Amino acid sequence: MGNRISHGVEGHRQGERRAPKVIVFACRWCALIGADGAGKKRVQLPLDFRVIPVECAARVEPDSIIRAFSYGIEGVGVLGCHLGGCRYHNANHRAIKRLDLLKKLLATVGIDSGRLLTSFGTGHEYHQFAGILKDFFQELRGLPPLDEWARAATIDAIKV
Amino acid sequence: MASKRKAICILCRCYGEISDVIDLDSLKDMLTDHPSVSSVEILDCLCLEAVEGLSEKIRQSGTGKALIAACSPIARGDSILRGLEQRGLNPADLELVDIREGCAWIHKDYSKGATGKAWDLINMGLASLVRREGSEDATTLVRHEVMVVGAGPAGLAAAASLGQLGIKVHLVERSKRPGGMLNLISRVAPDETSPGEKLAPYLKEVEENAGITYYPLARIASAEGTVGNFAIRLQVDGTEHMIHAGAVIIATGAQALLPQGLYRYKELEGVLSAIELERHLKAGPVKARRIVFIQCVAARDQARPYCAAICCPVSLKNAMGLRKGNPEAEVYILHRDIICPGSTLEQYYRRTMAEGIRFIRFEEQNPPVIEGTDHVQAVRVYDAATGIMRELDADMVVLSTPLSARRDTHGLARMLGLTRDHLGFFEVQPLMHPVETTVPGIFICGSARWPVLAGRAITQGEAAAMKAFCLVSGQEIAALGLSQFRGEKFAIARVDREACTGCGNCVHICPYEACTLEPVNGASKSRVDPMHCTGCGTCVAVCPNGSIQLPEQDAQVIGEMLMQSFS
Amino acid sequence: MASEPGPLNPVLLIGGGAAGITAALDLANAGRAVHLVEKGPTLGGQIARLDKLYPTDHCAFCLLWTEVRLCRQHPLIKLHTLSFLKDITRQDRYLNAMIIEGPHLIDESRCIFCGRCEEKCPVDAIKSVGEHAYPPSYVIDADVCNGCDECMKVCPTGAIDIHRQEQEIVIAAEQLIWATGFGDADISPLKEYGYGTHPDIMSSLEFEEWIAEAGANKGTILTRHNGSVPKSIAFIQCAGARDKRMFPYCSSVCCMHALKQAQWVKRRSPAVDCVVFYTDLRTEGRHYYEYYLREIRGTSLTLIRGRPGLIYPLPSGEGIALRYEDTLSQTREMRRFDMVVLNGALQTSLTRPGITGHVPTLDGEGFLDKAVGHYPACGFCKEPVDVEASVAQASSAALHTFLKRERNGK
Repeated sequence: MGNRISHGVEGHRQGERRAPKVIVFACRWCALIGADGAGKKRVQLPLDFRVIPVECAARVEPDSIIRAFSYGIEGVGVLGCHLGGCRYHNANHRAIKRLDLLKKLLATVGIDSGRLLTSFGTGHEYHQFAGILKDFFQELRGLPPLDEWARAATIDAIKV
Repeated sequence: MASKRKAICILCRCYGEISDVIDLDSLKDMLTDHPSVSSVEILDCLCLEAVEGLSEKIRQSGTGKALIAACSPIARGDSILRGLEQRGLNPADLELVDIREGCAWIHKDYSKGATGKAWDLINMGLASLVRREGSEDATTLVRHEVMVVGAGPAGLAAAASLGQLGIKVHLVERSKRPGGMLNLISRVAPDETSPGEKLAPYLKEVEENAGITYYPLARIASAEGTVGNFAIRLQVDGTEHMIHAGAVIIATGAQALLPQGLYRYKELEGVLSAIELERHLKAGPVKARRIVFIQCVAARDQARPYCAAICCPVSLKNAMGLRKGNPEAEVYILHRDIICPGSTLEQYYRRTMAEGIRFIRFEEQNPPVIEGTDHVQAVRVYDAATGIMRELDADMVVLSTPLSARRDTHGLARMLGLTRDHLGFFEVQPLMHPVETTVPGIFICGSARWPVLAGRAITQGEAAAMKAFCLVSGQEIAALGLSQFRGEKFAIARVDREACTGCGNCVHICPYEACTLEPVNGASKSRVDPMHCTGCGTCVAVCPNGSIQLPEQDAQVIGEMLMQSFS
Repeated sequence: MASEPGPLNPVLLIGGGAAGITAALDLANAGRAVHLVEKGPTLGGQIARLDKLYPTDHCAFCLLWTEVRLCRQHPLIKLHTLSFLKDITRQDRYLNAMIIEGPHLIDESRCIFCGRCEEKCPVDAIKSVGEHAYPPSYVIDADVCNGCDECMKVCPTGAIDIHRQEQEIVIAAEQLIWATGFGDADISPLKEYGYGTHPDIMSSLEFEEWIAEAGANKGTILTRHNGSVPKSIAFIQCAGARDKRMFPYCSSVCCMHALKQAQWVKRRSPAVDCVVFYTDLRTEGRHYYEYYLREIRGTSLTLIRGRPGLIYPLPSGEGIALRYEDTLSQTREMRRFDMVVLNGALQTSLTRPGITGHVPTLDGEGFLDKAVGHYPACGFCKEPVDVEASVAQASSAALHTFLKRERNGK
């Protein structure tokens, strides 16, 4: 317990923290169109995010998200198509429900639900994708660093 | 299984667009030491390289596996991959990493950071490439036969078209005669042709074409199989027929709703449903002198929140029919909007106005009231456009009800795995694929899909026939090729039979009902129908132990990519 | 450059919008070769330029680009962009069609979208092919180009040649399908609508572009005359349509189009008062009425039945005046709006404006539907229809070309 608090205090000092590391699961349709659009418009974005394209946002397993946190990644975004717009017959509806539940579960092990970003149909234009990402970084910077206690919990939780 | 095969890395300078920001030379140095890399090449502009040369380079590198770091798939990346695949390279051996739109262009002032990010992205790509497997394709021989369910205008058009194209057609009809709803009507809206005339060319083809078999009085007892080979058991007048079809076209139509309990229907004489009026008009000139049509009966309301599209043109057509039989007749059409979109229908509307048919608008909250004791005598209506309460003498009132979804096709829907929307009409793919259902190989046309006039039903029947023709005219259907919006599906889910616990999560969640549980040595195991599976990966996300995977991107790949993401 | 009729006896498809793409893919998937002739620089037509599509609220590109990709990658489809049909002559069973192609001052197959040409161009003649296009490339407006060739100097791939000329291509085809779609019509002759008198009186397609998420304002609702936030927007239905002075027909798509635009305005700017002036609310397509109920009743749009009698700008910056009769309350009103969107004046678009190409015989209302001719038509050029019907007609037209073939004894 003592460990956890001290980490939190240290982390808050301005300028010492490096940028939060972010993984974005982007569906190959709406989400990637937004990301591609941002690239084509040469919108300058923070460096510390990596995009993993998936065929459909429904593909994203809770396990992968938890695993990401266990590796020290501080924010995970899942971007998909708007409700009614999924090419895979509303698979995104299930994904949204699943992710909302996961947010609640993450909170129980001390991972702020703000660390899991979901955007369904709000990121398909270049400025929307850029805005979502920048806002996400902003939000993550406002949170204390992901501490060891939470990470340990996640390592226990992932599938073998 | 992690592959020991190394990959060639091909990095694109993109004429400086990438190389001005990302230090490709240092990437090359680092990659050369990478355990999964056989060799590294930097090219000025990949998409302008002769694809032939590129594919040769990849083949000659030894393993045929290649990681290409260039622009985004939406730019040129995808066409580079397509070109390589067309030259015989295995798509499972190719990985595209976007370091232009995804890196150089969005971090142009941070060369060091961008180079580090590119290194991470390439590592992630290699992690994916190393484990990547191609999904096992499944092919099925295609029957050059199509079953058309329903011999109304849509079904007849579909059957006739396919027959003319040389495809064997099984035209299945529940009643004795073909024609569907057109058998019940006097004239076809809006061209006022007789139903016989409208259907004549299609009926002729069905009759004369030896390849089209017509089964009247048929019931579908069971339906099994999948695209390419549906096995359908028909009961026709006591005899059983087994039909094998490569595709199925649903043209079961809709049913006319009866205005039960509305506007004193069945209570007063002279208050008819629209279908009853058709019967009268077929018999000859109708004697009534003052006819009032009421539109939107049991439609566009709480219980049926839809516009059935056909009722306005049909009422116009019937109004004209009444006038033709009795030029003295006074006809009123009470409506909430006149739905005559387009050129032909709008012209027809103008014609009816010129003919002297009168239109009175009423509002949903203020419907007309029918007056009379044994027989209808008058209709009282608040004319919304003038604000006057009108009392119209009437000796006939016609209630225009919508077409509603047939209730007797539930069984058929279940057998074929079709879903229905909340109104009961069959679900279809949106916008660009209006005659396709969510089940591959099953198409839909006519009012079973959504209420339409005969002309449009015929067009949809022809559209469905065209789609079915494309499907069944080949020799084989490959499961991977059965994608509406991609050249090839991304993947087909694969089950590790040993690990599968038979929990059924995948069965429950699959949007295409591609997973089923089957008994294997006393246990239940999941089985994926490759024809239905679309590779979305929803099942993978709900599997408790990772026994169902997409070979192109399994869970371990994602795990590896996460590990490599920030070096 | 004449092309011989090969064994695949190609079909000429005039128009590369939703209908054209569908017909082309159907034909190609069934084994026929297709020459797809499109007047613009890219595929997708009018639909691709829309912000959202009803009733699913898909963004248009998202839905179309996969079909566009399939079209471009199909070995049996040959695409001719910036092209139009100049002339057709019949020769026995074949058509000899003269296509004028280009000039493609930028060779799209060599454009890597680096944008150096656009940066260098002193007269703004170079623009990206579209906010969303597959594949992305730049295009030079030959009319604006001043011939300075700065762009050619900076293009790293040699894609640009501003001296390239248009080409005449003769294609021997067996059949032809019209799928040329529609375009905006100029409604200024109908003076009461005030089109052209104020920057905030717009056609519906102009408004669509103006409020598009991918557009200049990134989806924010602003007035055009000074970029302020509007308080009220009027949508006028049947402006120019169902009107004997201009187009007697109903354009069929505008009711849903306006409802869609209005509900998106409300979603993004809930405080804006949106009023739709209609004559008949035509929401007959699949799930359209429910779209109306769900989105419109939910977002408190006002619907007024009446076609405004006069629309004119109020003196200096006070907005736009609208005089109308609310026919359902029989009252005559005058209201002030910040923006007015005119819906209805859509017409067949057969070729590039200003170009004399081959024009087929049209019926009295300007469509190919009831016109006498050999060639099937599909989509809006046949009759005013929405995307779903247009696409079904396209597949039907593809089928008819096959049937014609069968009848000719092939």
